[in-house]
Amino acid sequence: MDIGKILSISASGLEAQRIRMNIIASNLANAQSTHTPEGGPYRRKDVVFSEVLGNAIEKNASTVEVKEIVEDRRPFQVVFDPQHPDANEEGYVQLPNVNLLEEMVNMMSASRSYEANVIAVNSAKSMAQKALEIGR
Amino acid sequence: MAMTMTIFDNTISFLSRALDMMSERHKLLSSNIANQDTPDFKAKDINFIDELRAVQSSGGVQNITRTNPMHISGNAGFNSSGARITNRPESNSGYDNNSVNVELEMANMAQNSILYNASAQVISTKFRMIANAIREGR
Repeated sequence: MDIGKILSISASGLEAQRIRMNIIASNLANAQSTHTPEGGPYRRKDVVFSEVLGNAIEKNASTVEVKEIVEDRRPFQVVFDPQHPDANEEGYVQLPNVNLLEEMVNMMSASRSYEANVIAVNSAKSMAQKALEIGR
Repeated sequence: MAMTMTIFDNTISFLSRALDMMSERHKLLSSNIANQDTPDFKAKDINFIDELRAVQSSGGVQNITRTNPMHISGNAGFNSSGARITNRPESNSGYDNNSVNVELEMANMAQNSILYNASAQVISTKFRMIANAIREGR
């Protein structure tokens, strides 16, 4: 039983979901940030997953990787708040295009996907353990 | 009755082929679960029952005939256990064109892992029976 390969596939899934979780945490933390190093309010970020094909023989069992982290090009939220330091002459502030509800849903999805990968790891481990018991 | 059975009859070799196939299947199911959020990913699987029947009827390892020296030798298209890998029939691919159905993958994985443990147990028992016979039951 090629447990190493199975574990590396599941580990790639765990890693990809963890990166996704990091990005979601960053989006939530910066939901009110009006300043960024690039200037302007924070732009919501998102991960792009990509399948990584194995070699010729293992080509059917593929791992996953985060290909890139993209910025959401949707327009910023505009809120009327004349007291805000970053308000323009008319009193409007541009806030990040982060939608809390959307982030929470993504977070749940990432967390469930992570759990599914953990179960796959545990199941592979118990199978390997059982194989070692043959002939005992 | 003629005693033609050798010490290790084909139960053990058959079951070890089955174990190989199940571990291969586990790899594919892990890959499906790891890629559950990858756009355009297609779920892959081994039709375990069909493949097991094929092994049973052929009674051995099937090799691919090479008709051209440019062909990849060995078991291209097959995996190390010799089982055919199929794309799971598309159910509802959804907006990201991904055909992984997590519930189905988890159910298949549970089934696969129980079958694996059971087969390993049977091989174990088989060996113990032989050992028992050698020791004349003492």
